[in-house]
Amino acid sequence: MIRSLRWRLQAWHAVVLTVVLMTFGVIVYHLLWQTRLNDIDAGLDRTAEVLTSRLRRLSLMPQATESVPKPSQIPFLPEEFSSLFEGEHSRYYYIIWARDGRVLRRSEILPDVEFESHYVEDSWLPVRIARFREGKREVVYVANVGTHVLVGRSIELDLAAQRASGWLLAACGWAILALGVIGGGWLSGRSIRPIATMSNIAKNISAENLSQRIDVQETDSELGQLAHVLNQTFDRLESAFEQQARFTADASHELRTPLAVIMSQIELALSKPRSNEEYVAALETCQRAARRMRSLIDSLLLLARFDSGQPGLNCGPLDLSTVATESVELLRPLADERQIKLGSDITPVPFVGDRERLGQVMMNLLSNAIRYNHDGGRVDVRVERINGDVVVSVSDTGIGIPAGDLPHIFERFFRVDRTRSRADGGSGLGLAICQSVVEAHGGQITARSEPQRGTTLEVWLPISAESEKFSQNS
Amino acid sequence: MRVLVVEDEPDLLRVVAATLRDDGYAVDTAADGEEALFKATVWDYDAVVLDVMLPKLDGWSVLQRMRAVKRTPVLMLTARDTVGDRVRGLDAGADDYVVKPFALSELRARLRALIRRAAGQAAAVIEIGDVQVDTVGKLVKRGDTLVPLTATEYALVELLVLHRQKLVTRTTIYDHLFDEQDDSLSNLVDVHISNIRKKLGREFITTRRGLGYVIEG
Repeated sequence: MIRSLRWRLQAWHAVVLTVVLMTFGVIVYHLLWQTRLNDIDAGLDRTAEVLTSRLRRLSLMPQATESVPKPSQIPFLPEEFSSLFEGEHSRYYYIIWARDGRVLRRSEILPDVEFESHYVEDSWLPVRIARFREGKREVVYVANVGTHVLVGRSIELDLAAQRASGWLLAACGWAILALGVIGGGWLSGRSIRPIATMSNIAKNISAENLSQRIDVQETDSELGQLAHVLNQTFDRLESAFEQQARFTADASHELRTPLAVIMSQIELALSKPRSNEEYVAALETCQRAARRMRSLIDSLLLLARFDSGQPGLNCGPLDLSTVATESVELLRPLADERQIKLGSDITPVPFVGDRERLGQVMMNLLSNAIRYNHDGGRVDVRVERINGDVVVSVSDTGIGIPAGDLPHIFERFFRVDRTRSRADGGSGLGLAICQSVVEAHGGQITARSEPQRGTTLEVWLPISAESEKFSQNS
Repeated sequence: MRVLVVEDEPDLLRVVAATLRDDGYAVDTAADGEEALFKATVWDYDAVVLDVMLPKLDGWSVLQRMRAVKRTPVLMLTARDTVGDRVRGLDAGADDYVVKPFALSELRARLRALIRRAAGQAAAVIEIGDVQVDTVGKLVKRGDTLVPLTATEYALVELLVLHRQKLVTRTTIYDHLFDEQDDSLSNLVDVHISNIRKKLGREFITTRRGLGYVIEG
């Protein structure tokens, strides 16, 4: 659960949101307090200014310490101003000291306050000191003659208001955080859901059930692309499985038929006493079937080796023209039998490869060209070098391959027409083996065909640096 | 009994045909789907042994097209033994199937059963009066004594017994007893009938002059 993407997303989201909200809250709280304090200080400053100017006006500010001016007849503060410091609920208070600490004037209500001298000798600059003291804000002005004017007020109410603002901010913060986390959870849940669907479908896909696909309509976000890619993978998987199943079925069919021949032939031969000739004929039938099975098994094993990526090629320097000429000569009797002209245009091309396997490819291509030809037709073999490749092409004037079958001819057990194959002993694996051999040599094999006109198979093999060296040496 | 064996592997075709001939069947052969369809629609076989994988026209198509005109029992030979393949075969109108590789004895037994069922005779031993015809052992007994019959004589008895109380025409006898390799003269049937009567009694087979023969029991 902790490791799940959804929960990690959610947690990260919550942490970021908390940090943002807290920073924001602290800043707002601080700014709010600054504004309040500025307000309070402005009030205190104005009051202190009034008191100072009043002192000057009434010449109460002593120039020296020798005499305390007498209280005059004029009240120190005008009526409307003095009300500021009167009454039970007055928040403001003041006290004025002379330089030496004598009290010149004070408000009626005054908390305990000690005189502290802030006078600096010979300084022409007035001094202003602001301070907090026991829930109060006080400002002390020191005039250049040394008179200290202290104005203060209680800030209990302001502190309470600030605290209330703090609580409000916190409440808003929590609300936004909750909303953010819930909303984020909903959104991440919603965006994660297709992943869960996909993983469920992927989990359900097995060898027995490969047809399920992810509904791409449902996932219109970035996940749609992922779903598309997954579906394509499933398609490939399904076709690979199908191909495998078909291959297994074909292979078992091909093996069962000769096995059926052997079993039934033996049963027939043993059912009653037979003449020697009959036994020989029976054994010959069994031998034919066994040979067919052996060649089929050899082919299957060869393909399996190529499939496993360990073709076990026995590579060495060779001349493809020799390989081609040998194959042509070997198959000439077969061609002559059907009055097929076997033409060759072979130029020497040194190459490094597996002589036996490449010979097998040549034999396969040639025997196919003869087998699927009309009597009296032609087969042309050409070996030449085109740039960095050896090109071996075998073309016939035979029955050709229908366009629809052409992409399948390299598939295992694929036969365009099964009529001829069985009697001729073809297994349907020849071209598949050719393709595997050619690809193991780094080349490729292609086919083009026109029905009733003929087929051309071309093998392209890249000439490696090794072959070049060999050709220079020879 | 005349059967058609369709199989594209020449050795297997030869072995199956030889086995069935040993059993007294008249056997025709076909190596591809088109030939099989032609023969199966032209002749009245007692059964067809049909391979699935055939050149030109596969076994399924042969079966389907043959079923449009004939009700001949069909035994399918297949190398594919998945349930799907068997169901497909039976649904397509096959009467039975044998999976390759098969034992010849099983093929023979299934073929016998198929022919009996098609003729409406479920039992393997059919009794007519004091004559017992054992279609498995290909034996005929009269009372407790074994009656020695030649293969053709037995085949003729079996044909008449399977169609007992029905008229069997001479043409039917030719069609079912002799395959395409036989070159028999028409009067041979009369020779066989007379030989059977000698062995099983005159009244065993009744002659409908100008029409054919019938076992009335």
